[in-house]
Amino acid sequence: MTLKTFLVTAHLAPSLTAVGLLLFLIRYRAKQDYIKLLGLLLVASIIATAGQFLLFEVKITPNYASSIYYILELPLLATIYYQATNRTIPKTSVVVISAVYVLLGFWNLLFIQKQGINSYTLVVESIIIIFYALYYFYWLIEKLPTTQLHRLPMFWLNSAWIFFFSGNLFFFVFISYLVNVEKNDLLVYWTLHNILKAIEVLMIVSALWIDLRNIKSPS
Amino acid sequence: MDRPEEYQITLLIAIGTVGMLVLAIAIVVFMVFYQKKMIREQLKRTQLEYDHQQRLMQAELESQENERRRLAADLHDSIGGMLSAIRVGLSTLSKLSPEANIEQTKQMLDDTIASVRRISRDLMPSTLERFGLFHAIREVCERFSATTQLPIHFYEQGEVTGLDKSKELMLFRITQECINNTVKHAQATEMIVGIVAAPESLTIVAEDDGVGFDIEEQRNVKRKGLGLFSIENRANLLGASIDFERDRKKGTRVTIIMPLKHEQQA
Repeated sequence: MTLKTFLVTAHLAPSLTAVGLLLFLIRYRAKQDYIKLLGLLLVASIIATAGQFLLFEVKITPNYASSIYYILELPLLATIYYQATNRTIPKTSVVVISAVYVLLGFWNLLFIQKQGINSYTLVVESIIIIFYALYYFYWLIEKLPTTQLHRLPMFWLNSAWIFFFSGNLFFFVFISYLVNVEKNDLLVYWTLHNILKAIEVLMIVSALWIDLRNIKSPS
Repeated sequence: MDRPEEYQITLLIAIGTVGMLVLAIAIVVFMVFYQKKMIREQLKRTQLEYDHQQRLMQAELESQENERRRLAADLHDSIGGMLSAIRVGLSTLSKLSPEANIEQTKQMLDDTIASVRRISRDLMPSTLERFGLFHAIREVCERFSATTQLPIHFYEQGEVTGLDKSKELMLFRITQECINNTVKHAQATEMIVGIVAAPESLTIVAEDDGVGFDIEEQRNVKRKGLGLFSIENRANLLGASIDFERDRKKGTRVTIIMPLKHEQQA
């Protein structure tokens, strides 16, 4: 695994995110609430990526940008799940979990892992999102909102997130050990992480494409 | 990756990651297949409920028709017979006592006998059983036309033989109800009733030039629209499609198309 491979994979996800954002902007007003929140997430992701590059240029660790993004990502995802399940998740639980997570995330950023990779935040986020994803699948089976699952954008979004966070969970758990104890540069791991991220964003783009098709030709 | 600990950690991460990915994919695939299965089960249940409802409706209608048949027979045989006997007795009496002025009484009795026959015929049209659907509908058109002064033109095309008696009766009742609705509500000056037998289907059309009606409004109004309800019920049981032409400028046109399966065509 070379640095060149890593850099190529590092650009995949942001490029796909930009495509997703373009798709999101088409017929924006007709989109459902949770898709509009997804648009906000995509914008945040692009800002975070731009922030990372900017911080790297000015010789400041780019981890600050990504850490703040990960802290803000969970409340947005939680709200998306809340909307997508027709608000069957208790609002209080969504607010409390998001608030506690954000507080812990900033605590970790300011006092514990600081400018390093905030892997503790990532582990907690992954576990919470996996639970949300499983709940959404359970809700789908209970409610059977559609006979054509492949035409439901949230099905693709949920699959993307369960795939991404499950695939990265073990990596997030051991990042701290690998960096601090093994002094590993994590090149291989980050390359694989980037590939998983690219697959995740590709599924998000598919969801946006399906949503656009549904708006243009509902059936 | 020289140190065994580092190798172990790497192996653990690899196995964990692959395991989680496989689990995630398995969950998604399971979801897709399980949801399809749930929907199939739901559709099956809905179909069973629908079939059960249809059978209940069928049984109710059969019971209704049996009751009508019994009433018609009782009216015709018992009451009709007695009235006829009374009529004969009155005629004999008037011959024996010419001075007795019983013409009015005889007229009232004749009217009553005619009413009883009409009610009996409306309850169970014997023409349907003896001569078939086309004749029965022609007769009901002529009868309504005569009693209400509303010109009802009837036309027929083709012929269907071997149609199940219960289906014939349901088609007759639907047509009768359509004519009834026109007479009661449409304020029409003319009505056309047609029946067309094609190789694959039987079509009945009832059209008038009256005031028309809003089908959705009629469905929503309680206590009214029961005739509409019975038309739609019978059409459902026959597997027929029913169209209340909505975009007409004037009047009403009801089209019932019943697919013909295994019935013989002439």
